[in-house]
Amino acid sequence: MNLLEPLVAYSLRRRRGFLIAVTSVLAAFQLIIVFVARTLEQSGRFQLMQGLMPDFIAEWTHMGAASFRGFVLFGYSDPVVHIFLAAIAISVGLEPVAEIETRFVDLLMARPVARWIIVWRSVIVLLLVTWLALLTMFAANEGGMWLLAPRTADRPPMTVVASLAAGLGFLTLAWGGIAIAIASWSRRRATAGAICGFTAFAMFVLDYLGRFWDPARTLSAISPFHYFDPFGMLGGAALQIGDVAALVAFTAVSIAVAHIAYARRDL
Amino acid sequence: MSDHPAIELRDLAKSYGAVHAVRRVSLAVRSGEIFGFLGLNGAGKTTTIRILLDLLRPTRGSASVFGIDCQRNGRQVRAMVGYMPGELGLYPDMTGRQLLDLMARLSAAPVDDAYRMSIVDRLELARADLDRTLREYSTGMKRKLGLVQAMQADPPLLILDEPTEGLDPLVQLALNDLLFELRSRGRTVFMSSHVLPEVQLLCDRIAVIRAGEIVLLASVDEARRLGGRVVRVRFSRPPGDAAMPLPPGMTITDRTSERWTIAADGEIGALLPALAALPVRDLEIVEPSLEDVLQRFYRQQPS
Repeated sequence: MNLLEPLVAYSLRRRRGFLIAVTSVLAAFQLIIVFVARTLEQSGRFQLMQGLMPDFIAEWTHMGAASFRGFVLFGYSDPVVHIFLAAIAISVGLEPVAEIETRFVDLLMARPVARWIIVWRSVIVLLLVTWLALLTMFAANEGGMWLLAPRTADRPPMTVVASLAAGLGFLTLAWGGIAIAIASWSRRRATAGAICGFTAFAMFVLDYLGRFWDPARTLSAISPFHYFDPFGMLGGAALQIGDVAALVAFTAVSIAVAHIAYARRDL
Repeated sequence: MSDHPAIELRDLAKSYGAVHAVRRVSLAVRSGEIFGFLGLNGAGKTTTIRILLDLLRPTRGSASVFGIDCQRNGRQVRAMVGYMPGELGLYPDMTGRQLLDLMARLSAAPVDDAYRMSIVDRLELARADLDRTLREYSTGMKRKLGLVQAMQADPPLLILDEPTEGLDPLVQLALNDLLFELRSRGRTVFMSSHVLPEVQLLCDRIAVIRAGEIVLLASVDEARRLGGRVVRVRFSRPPGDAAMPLPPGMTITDRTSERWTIAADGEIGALLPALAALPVRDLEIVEPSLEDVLQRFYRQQPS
């Protein structure tokens, strides 16, 4: 008897409004970015911005903010987008605790449903939502460039876009995994959400500090954000296998913790 | 399945730190009976039920359904159970039909749509209401939906936590008929309730839980007999204030110049010589209701 499928379908159906809103925002954001990049390119302002940009920012961003090629990938490299996607993943990952708080779990788990199914339902929904969000971003970005990019513009290579999307996807999954783990031992959605949100913010700040301040560099290795370097990729660096492995490890360990916690707890 | 009790609790306990929600609970529910599980709020009824469904893990002891351990083989147990929680956690954006469909898909046995709709009709839940979202449902409609989802797969054991709460009297009667019918088909019903007339009418046996412990386990008739009888004596004129010795087991519980109420444990005949000297106009012997008995058990302080 396949019990995962109806639970995944039900979870996605409940979220359809949320998913439509999120994907619309992400798609609109990509289109606007391409449109703005086109305007700046056509008016020659990228050259002006390159001249005004301090060296350290130009070096750090690989001119990401001052070229058509970098600007259209703003949707993958901007920290606000990273936080936004992490927030989506956290909201999806909190489903187990939401069911416990509302007591819907009494109806679900009064059926012959194994506890691991609840955890894996959330993992599958997280995977689907994450890749749907990234696919939407990718499609809107490519569609925007196809429609709006000037012929002379230096478009980003597909390998760079794919690397950015993959890296961002693994980062989002890591945060979703952490949220599922926290949701699996919490009793209140608000508490779990606050813990996840605070942790994400603290890890983001830690990573940010680590990139500029040597004393924080070592400690920043505990932050999932440390393993996604969009500006390096904008400069042509490939997606590092080590970074992917670290993000996968964050996700896997979180899911394992969720498994154990949910299997042992009182619901 | 019939060799084992439908439900068996052995020395069951559940503690939260220093708080003992359930302690030393042992009972057996026979297959094919309607069993009432009674107690005041916070007595441990829902905790016990949630242990049966493996939603909670006991601190000590064990629970089994048809001989299968509820914790070690929880899925096998839950495959045989239909459950209606006392507190229905429903997502308001779902429709009634979506909830029933989801629960049907998670059930071990296939759900016969005709059977499901017959329950819907008998509980007077309009079919059109099934396509409305649950935020539009009244409390009573949600309770009916909760009953339908518990019964729709026709499980061998129904566990109903306060099933009549929020139902109007006519629907309560319809539910009673449904439960009698299930019993006649060999199904077992384990229900918690506050509504004592309903328990008296429906249940074959009852258990009373107080402060986490079982204080009474008996058939409804046995429980009623435990209460003794009440004798109401009316006088044609005041009988005077002199203390009158009553036979052992008899006490005056209420006394006015015109009427005495006497609680009588034992033969009423022993009371008659004592009353013979008094100006008795009328004598009424009242059989105790289950409510009278249970109130006594509810109120006694745990030893």
